[in-house]
Amino acid sequence: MKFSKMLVAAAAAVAMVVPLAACGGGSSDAGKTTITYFSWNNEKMMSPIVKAFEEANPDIKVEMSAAQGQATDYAQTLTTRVAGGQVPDVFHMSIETRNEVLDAGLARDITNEDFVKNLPKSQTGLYTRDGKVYGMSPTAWIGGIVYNKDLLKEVGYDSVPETLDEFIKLGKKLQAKDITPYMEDMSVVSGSFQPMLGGYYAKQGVDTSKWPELDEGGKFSEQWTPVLKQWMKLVDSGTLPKETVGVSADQIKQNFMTGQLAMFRSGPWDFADLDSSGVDYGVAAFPAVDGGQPYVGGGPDSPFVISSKAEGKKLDAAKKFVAFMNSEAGLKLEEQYINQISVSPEYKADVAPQLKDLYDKYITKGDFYWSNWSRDGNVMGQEMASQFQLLVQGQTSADDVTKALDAKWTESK
Amino acid sequence: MTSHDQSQEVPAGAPSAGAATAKVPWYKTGKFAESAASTGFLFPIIVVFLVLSAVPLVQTIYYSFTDFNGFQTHPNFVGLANYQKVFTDPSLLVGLGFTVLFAVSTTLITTALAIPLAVALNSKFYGRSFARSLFFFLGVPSLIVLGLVWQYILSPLKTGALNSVLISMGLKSVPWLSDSNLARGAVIFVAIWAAVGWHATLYLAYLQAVPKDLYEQASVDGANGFQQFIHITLPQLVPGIVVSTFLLITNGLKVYDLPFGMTKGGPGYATNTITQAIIVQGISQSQYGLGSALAVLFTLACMIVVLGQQLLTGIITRRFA
Repeated sequence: MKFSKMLVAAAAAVAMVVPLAACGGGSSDAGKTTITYFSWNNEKMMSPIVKAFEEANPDIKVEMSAAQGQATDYAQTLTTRVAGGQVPDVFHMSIETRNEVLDAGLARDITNEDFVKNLPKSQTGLYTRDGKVYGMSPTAWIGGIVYNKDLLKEVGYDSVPETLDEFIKLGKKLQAKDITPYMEDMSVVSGSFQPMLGGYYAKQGVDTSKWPELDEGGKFSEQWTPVLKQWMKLVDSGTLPKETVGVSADQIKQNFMTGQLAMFRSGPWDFADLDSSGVDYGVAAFPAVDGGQPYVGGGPDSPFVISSKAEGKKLDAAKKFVAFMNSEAGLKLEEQYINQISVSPEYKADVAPQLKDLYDKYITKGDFYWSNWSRDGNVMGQEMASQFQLLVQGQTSADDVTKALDAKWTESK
Repeated sequence: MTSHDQSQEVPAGAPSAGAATAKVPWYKTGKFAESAASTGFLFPIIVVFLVLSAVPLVQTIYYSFTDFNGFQTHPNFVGLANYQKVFTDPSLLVGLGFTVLFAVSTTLITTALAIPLAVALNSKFYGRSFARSLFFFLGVPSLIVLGLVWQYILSPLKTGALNSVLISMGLKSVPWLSDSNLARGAVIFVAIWAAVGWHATLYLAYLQAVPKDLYEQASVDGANGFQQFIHITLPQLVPGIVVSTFLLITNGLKVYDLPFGMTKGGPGYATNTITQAIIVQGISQSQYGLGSALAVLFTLACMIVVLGQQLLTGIITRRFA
């Protein structure tokens, strides 16, 4: 009896220990250097790239994790991990977290690394402080107006007009046919206002020292108001329906894919879904406001950062990993699986046909813009999204929106 | 023979016995041993409470006086600046207003609907078990999932599920989630829709414990159905009302998932809640100091509301006891 009890106890102990042993990793990982990587993109997109790196570097294992959702979710998870002392060996900075990451000394100075030296300044400038580079971004993103060619043809258009007034005329013709003209995700920073503002800055030659988002003395009420008042014509004319507030990005995309919406703000991240829908679509720049020029939304993708805490073999492995991301092999995979556009001399981007025109006419000339908040990006992004929602609803005016942004900007100092 | 029996054999008032009892150290008495054993059983939960609740609470109070952003190792002391900001930030004040509106309205309306529903479900009718299960299961799915589902149903677009029905009936589409007031109403409606079945089930359990002879006597005395409901059912349900309203008010005050799933706090800040502000402004926007100040004030406010609710229900309970 006693023996059988001991046997049962031993079996139970083994049953408890065996699964725990499995957590320790298999023998195939023995002798490898393991680094942790917190991916900006989801695991499905990033896994093939990480796998290719591991195959090319059999002595390194990458433990990848990813945040679900938008940029704010990434920032939230990163903050939690940092607060818990779990800084990943390789992670991403963003405009929103740039200052916090650099202030806390979490990013390693990579100025003299070969994988960053070959990148243009437009890619490294945002993540440079006191002449030292802390982030490596070999790719850029583009956002434009994705339009349904057939629906536009129904009202006599081949493409999206280049001025706001013409764009509104197109909107009215579509409305007359009971087709929703244009929508964008209003739960985040407006994807159409930003390029319109960038086009205005460029045409007017507004010096960067007057850009309020750079915190060098410029005011939102002075610089943004004229463009915002013109942007509101989209809403007043019904081209951008008021109902857009309260509709998710997925719902907007579904409406486009089912032929009920003629245009929406999007980019390469939606191409896979759009291709599967069978809709014949193109991508165009945002129209110019009076005094502006057509522009697209865009900027460097969120850069890779090596943790300042990584040392020894882990540091070497982390450098190899980041270098791979700026190699021909890595960039090809990033293009294939994440639709990221290479701006690195290591690999010339083979841009998707839908984007070719936009890439040649705007990206290569630097005609793209996105607000790069010099501080408190998350706070200002949220405030901007909320104020725009109220504006679209008619609960506030363009003047009050920019005043509120000025107040928030001053208050957050 | 037990120690109790032995003590009974000692003559009352005998000095020797009294002296012997007095000499026994307090920690050797049976009461202490029993108390120590009980405390021992509580030890694990006390540790869990200290680690998961008390320590974080103290940390939160500390962070509320600093500019901690989640990345610093040595945050700076900023005094009451975070508390001052809480009371001057319009988005937080709107969030506070909606939280109170949500908590109060869901508590009152859910209670008002759940009691009659429980009475109906307590009566005999064909398919009663199915109806009970149906109402109960409304409250089973996660609120964030319900929020996402209702976001599709209440989509302000003409293609939204509910708007499609309205249009097919010749009516106009309604901007359910794109108008501030309608969005507030929609969030509260879904919360009540999800909670009413669960709370009706709770009341049903209390209803089944009400003695049947009370109703029989009332019938003999000529009381009609409404009079029986007011004078028998409701007083008998008071303990259930105490439990139900306590759960509703506390869940209402800390609500986050449903409004976030449906509207992400919009339009503007219309359906923003305090818990959402703590998470979004505190963690997502790396303003841990501000988020902590908000959390401290919110904890105090919850304590006051819950104490008030307990006092009120205590008075009502005594009235009907």
